[in-house]
Amino acid sequence: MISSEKSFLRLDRISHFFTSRGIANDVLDDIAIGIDRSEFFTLIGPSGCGKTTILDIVAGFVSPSVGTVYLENKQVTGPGNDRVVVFQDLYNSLFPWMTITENVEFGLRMAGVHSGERADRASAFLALVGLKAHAHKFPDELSGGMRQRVQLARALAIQPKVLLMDEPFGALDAYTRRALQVELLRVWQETETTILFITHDILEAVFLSDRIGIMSPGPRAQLIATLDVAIDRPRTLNDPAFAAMVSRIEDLQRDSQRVVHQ
Amino acid sequence: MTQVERTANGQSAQQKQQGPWHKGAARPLIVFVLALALWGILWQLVAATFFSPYLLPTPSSVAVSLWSTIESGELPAMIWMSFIRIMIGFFLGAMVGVLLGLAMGSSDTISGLFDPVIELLRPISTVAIIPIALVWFGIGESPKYFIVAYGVFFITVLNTVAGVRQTPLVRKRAAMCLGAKGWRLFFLIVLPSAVPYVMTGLRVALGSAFTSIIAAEMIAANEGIGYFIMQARLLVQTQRIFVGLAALGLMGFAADRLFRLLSHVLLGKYVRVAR
Repeated sequence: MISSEKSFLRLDRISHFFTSRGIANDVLDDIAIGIDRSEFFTLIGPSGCGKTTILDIVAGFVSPSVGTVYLENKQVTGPGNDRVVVFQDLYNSLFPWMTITENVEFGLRMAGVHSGERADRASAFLALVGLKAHAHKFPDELSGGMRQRVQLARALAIQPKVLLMDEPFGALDAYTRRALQVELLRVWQETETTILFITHDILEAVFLSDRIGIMSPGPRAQLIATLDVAIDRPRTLNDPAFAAMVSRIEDLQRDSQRVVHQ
Repeated sequence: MTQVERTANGQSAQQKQQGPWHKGAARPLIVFVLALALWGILWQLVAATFFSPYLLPTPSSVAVSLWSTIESGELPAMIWMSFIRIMIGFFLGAMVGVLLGLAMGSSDTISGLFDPVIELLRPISTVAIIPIALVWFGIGESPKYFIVAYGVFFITVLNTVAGVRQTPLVRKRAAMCLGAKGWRLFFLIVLPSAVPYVMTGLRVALGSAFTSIIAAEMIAANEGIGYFIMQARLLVQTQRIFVGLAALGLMGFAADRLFRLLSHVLLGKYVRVAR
């Protein structure tokens, strides 16, 4: 199943390394992932293992040293609005001089959608994330959680093929994070968008995902396992299947660390 | 710039409309005027008691002299002359500085080409440039414009380069994956991100424009505030020197306030920072 030619989004044997000030950095080693249409796929791994590098490669911000990313069998060569990123950064991801509506309309404007339809779509997607009442505010007038909702609305408004989420809730407080996880699942089910999600939070990964890819600690990070999360939604912590999945991931991570340290 | 105090409720939307003249400014204004009056009284006492009027005239005699030079139209004409020179020189220097700064900030080639020249010329003060400006441009108005523009240019170009380069990578990437690239990425994202830096540079440069023009007028002019002060010194009319200095201080203060007001009205939204 992994990396079959039929996959909607396919990371074909990606390796990445670079040299900085004479020091060789070996970031990723032969990563192969295949993600289906409308699938919620999460990559999990410790900080510094290169998760974000994978996302930057899929987004087209970074070219991999070896390997290719295919979206619908077409090679990814640079950034494009078929793959929109939701960033962790609460301060610089939104354009601070634009209202919330203007932020959400930005991608549509770039795509040449005329102003009437732009306004309709912006207000529809702001409604989807529950921010219709804040349409005319500026980003600095919103809380962190609201800013991430705006990012989500802005990304979805141009109906990308893949939504790339780089620890989007990592900078939020636990309560807001929980609320947004629930909200993201609802929005994902309504829009049937394909999601590649990145986190180091095991509970978050198990709560959200259809499948989870587990990465070894860097450098030379590898994909050590891919698990199907066959638990019915809505998922709860006190479900024994949930706890079993969490401890299985923890075991896999522990084993991979032992290998590295030997 | 007026920093907007963030509040969780809707009040901030109203606050953001307020310029430098907002409600809270009333109390500092009273304090400002009172403190000024206090120093004025102190000056009057010290000057009248200890000093000859040729060394330190009293503020009241300066006020009398100020009024007569205003009434005769002499001072307003001098102020106007200096003001026009500052404005034209500032505009020229700022325009070249911003345009070159934007180009240097976005292209390593252009930056590499101009950087060495700028770094070597920058330490040469505007005062040192006056003789060569006179050689090149004669004694008309153009050397004054050049001298002002010279000082303004360096401050503006450095701040603009910094503004372009500090555009957060995440912000550019966010725009790129939403479909912006090339000129649209530059004009819709990078340029607005640079605005706060450019405005700060222009404001500092405006101060430098005052310094430059006074120096130029003291050395080579027969009109303007710098000339007015220098003439008063030659004739040992100390209270007229003070009139010139007071006019200079007020001009600079008014110009800075006007600049802040204009930039707030025209570009206020680009100074917003999410925090």
